[in-house]
Amino acid sequence: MNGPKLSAPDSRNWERAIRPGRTVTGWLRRYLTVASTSVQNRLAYPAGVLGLAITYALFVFVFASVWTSASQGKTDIAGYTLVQLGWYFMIAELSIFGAGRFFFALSREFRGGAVAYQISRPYSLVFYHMAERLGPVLTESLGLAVIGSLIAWAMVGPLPLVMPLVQLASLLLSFLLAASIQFLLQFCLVLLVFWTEENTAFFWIYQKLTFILGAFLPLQFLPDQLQAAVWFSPFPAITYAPARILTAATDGTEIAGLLGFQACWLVLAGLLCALVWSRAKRRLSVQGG
Amino acid sequence: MDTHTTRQRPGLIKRYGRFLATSFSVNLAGAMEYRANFIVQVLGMMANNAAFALFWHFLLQKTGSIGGYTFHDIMFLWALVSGSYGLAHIVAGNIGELGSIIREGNLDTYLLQPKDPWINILASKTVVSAWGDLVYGYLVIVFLVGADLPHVLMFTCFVISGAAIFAAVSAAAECMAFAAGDSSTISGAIFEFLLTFSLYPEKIFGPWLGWVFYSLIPAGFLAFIPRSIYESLDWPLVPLAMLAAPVYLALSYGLFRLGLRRYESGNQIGIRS
Repeated sequence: MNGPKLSAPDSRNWERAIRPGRTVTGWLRRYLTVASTSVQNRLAYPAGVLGLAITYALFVFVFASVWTSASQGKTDIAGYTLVQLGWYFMIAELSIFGAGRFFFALSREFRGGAVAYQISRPYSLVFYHMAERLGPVLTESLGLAVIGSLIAWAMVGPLPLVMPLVQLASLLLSFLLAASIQFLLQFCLVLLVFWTEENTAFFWIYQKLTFILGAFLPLQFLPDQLQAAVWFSPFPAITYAPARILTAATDGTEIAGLLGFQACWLVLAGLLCALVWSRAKRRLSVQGG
Repeated sequence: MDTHTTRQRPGLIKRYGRFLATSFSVNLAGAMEYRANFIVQVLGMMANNAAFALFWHFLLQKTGSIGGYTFHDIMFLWALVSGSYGLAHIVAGNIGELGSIIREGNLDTYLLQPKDPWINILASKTVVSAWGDLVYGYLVIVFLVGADLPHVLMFTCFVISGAAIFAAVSAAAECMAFAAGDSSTISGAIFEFLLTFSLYPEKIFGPWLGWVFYSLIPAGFLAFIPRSIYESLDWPLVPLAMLAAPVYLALSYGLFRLGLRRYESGNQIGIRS
């Protein structure tokens, strides 16, 4: 009988890929395989992204309208022209819509008890989830970026870039750093379920701080004292850095400073995550079944 | 001697009034079973909304008014929309779930019950965090907008009509599930459009969207018209402005009945949860 055959070699490759590796390449290959499998799964259901795209497009449109109205009769507001403000929001919001939605899916998974069998597998639970989530998130963000760019272009005009190649390459790196920091911070919030059953309110507060401190408005709109204080928090690394790099960074030093700031927060968020996870594991009790 | 006395059945409105009151108290009692969760969700939602007040404060400090709206005007929109959204989801917590109830065949349970299925479905759930929205609406109107008693009373009228418009539009959008199966993306988008457009000054969107705000996405009836009446405290115009609510409710109900003709039972056996 000539029926379709199961792809056995693929599954063997996958098993080989996730087996603990001793080299950095082996380690990378393991999590890249997780990420690419997750991307393939997501691409199989493209309609699932439609709702997200509609809401993102709506927000870019609304804020471009707000900025257009606010900029009437002004050359700039807080140092930003209308074009810069329109594109700033497009990128900052992309960081939230495209790469800031880990919490609810992870919370559901942890509450559902999936951690009980995931913890015994031959990989780091944190890196596994990170690879599994970041893969599709970055793919979706590409699609959202196209939609957001078209709306921003139509509403406020094209964005002039001082150093096009440097800015675009830095934006990609900055966006990846922002997505990773967001994942690690949200993973910490998810782990609070080990102490308190209802952790959603913590996420709401975190999310709103992200909105206010760099997403809806560039930091230059905040009062001076708050502006200074914000740099002691991770929030500028999440939305302000990528949006500023594309729209208003004036030279390479500013871009390098912003990327360095993000890199520092990536390390701090990683350490925080490792600490919280090690404490959370002590509270985990698996009942078999 | 005829000892059997016939007790007169109360009128339709009274019966459904009682039914809604009972649904509300049962839902509230259910929510209060998890008191700590209730308080956390209510406070969390209030903090959530307060973040937007901060955003507008920072923005308007730099720009002055936007689209003719000052901070006071924007906060009125936030109070009204937040209060209306809250009331709609407290009384009719299933307005966003109607589509999935239809799609998954859970309508059967309601069709077998003696009450009207549309009212029965919508009122059979409450959303706990919506209490935070309702309370936030009143806190904003009193403390940030600075309303006196007559203004609070007028505000309450508009909260009631706004809640009815929210419920009607959301339920109508969810009815697309009768024709299209999984229409959650489109129905969710319609609700998101109504919520978002109601929270921003009407003029910033330009005249070409005007007709949409008074038809498909009735942000005009929900927020913009009430704002101008509220400013002038023009009581004779209040009933006229509120008239849009029963019209949208009737249209929404009509759509549901129309969709019900297409509904095919999956013979699912289940219980109401």
